[in-house]
Amino acid sequence: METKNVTTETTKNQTPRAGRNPKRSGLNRRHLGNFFLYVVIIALLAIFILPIFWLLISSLKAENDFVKWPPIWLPAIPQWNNYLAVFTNERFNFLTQLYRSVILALLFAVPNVLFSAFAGYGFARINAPGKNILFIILLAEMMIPQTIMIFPQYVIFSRVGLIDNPLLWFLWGIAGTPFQILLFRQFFAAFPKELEDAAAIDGAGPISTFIRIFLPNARPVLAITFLFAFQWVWGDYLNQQLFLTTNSTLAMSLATAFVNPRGYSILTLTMAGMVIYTLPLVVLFFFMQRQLVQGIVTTGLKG
Amino acid sequence: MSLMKPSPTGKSKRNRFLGLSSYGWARARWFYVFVAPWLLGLLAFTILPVSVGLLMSFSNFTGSNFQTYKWVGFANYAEAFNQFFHNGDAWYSLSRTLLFAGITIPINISLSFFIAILLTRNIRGQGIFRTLFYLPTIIPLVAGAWIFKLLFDNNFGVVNAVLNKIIPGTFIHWMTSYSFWVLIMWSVWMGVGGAIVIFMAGIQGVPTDLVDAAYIDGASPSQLFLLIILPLVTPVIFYQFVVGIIGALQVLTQPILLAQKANSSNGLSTIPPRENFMFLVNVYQQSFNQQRYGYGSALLWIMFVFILILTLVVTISGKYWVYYENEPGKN
Repeated sequence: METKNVTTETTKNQTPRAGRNPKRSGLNRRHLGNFFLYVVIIALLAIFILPIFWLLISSLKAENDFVKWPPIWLPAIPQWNNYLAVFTNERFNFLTQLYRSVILALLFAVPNVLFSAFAGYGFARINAPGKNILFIILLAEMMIPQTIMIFPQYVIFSRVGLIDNPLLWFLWGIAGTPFQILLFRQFFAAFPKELEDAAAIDGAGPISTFIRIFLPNARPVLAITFLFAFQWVWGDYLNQQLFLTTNSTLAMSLATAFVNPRGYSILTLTMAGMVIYTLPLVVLFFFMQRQLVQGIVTTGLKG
Repeated sequence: MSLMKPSPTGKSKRNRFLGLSSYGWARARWFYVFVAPWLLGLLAFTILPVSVGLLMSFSNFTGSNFQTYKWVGFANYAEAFNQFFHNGDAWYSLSRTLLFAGITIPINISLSFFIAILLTRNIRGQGIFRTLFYLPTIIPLVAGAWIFKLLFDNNFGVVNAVLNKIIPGTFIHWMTSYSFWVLIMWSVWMGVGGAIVIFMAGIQGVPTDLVDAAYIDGASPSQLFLLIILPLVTPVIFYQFVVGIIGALQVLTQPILLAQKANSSNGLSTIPPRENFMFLVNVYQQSFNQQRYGYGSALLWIMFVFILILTLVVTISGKYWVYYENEPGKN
């Protein structure tokens, strides 16, 4: 395959993958600037990673070192105790807030994934009059600026008792999200018809076909949509601050920092809390990065 | 992509309605069952609030005068436009937002495109680099705000420390005098990762035979880039533009979080410094703090129309610079 006289037919059918496919070497002059290339990439990367690194460093500092000038790059004695103190300090209520954040994210993510799959299946596999119009509405929904709804939503929710009520996130979840529905639609549309027919011969209706055949085979999309949904709620500050007023979550409490009994903010512990708050997303991300890239690319380019 | 495949089941000619046999209808009914939760959610969480917002914008609703509010016609819109023409808050905040969008979007697109080009060359560890560049994207807003507040702190920030090493004596009051630029840097830091992934897919999607043909014809790397890769990636640039406009004009949480002091209980009512007084911050202030939901809603609708117009302009201009797969016969 490495010879030059491969027909264009075969090259077309390959998925072009730079970095692996030797045919791509036409793009670069290997010996001229490869070293330079790495230097530029690593320098840029350093700038992008430094802020995250700084969060970690800050969380390991002693309270006195935090505001020193010039700043201390590596604390002489890393204060791992900060992480323990975040959990044990009763004033912070860290565990309660962590629990609320997890519940809130799951309350949205689980129904969001299931019902997005549900609607995605309908759009992908069943024909009905009006489907095209509904699909266009689905696409249009993605284009509506979310913020235009936030203020009237506040008025409506306060009338129906959905302010300070986690149920709101569950209802949002059931409604699905156009972005997620689209991901499922793309995925389900590629399923072979035979699978469905076999199920129909066995007497399965659409719902049991969906639950028994489509859902179990959609694991990669289930994983990625779950990550997206979880991340939206976990990393969201606006909706929580606006619609949950008294039951503060991690996002809400960390925004204004932890405070000691005398009313001073304790930034070292706040940063340790921040690392704990950020960690689940980073872990989820590293486990699912392949599907994540795939998800971004399908909705970004084809959606 | 055809949405409607011909129904495989509609064999009987009798009893057809809207092109479907009774068996087809039995199956089609299920479609509505499957989309019902989404459709109900759309009604409750999108169509209803949008309509309520539209109605509010024609009233003097304050958030609590449910019994006594009055319809005021276009008065709220008139006031907004009056502000636009007389340098009021609405105009000021819009101009700040446009400036923010006008700086952030081009930096975002060019930087992510540049990094994507570097990463799609024949290098080792491409996947790892992509992952690490994507990492800032998943950092929650609240954490990002704190990170940037620490980095750019007036008194003990790292950025000032580094600048001090390079040019001794520099001491920039980032958070008080240049918070607009901190906001931009934060947005670029957050936004580039996602765009890199999409650009990389776009560049890798350039057909190899095209690149090879150009290479055999003796094209230089810069020609290869300008004549083949750039035109084929224009749809991605276009997409980034549209998404960027929609996102940047709605910036709200970031300036507020950046301005929030430790130990303050202001929450979303925090007023950012004047240079970060974005359009939606003004809307928030008008709606929640001044209790002028009517006027706030009018501003939102003006923004909505504004975003639509901008998107439309970009789409129309796209005809002249976005490359689409050659459509036979159209040339």
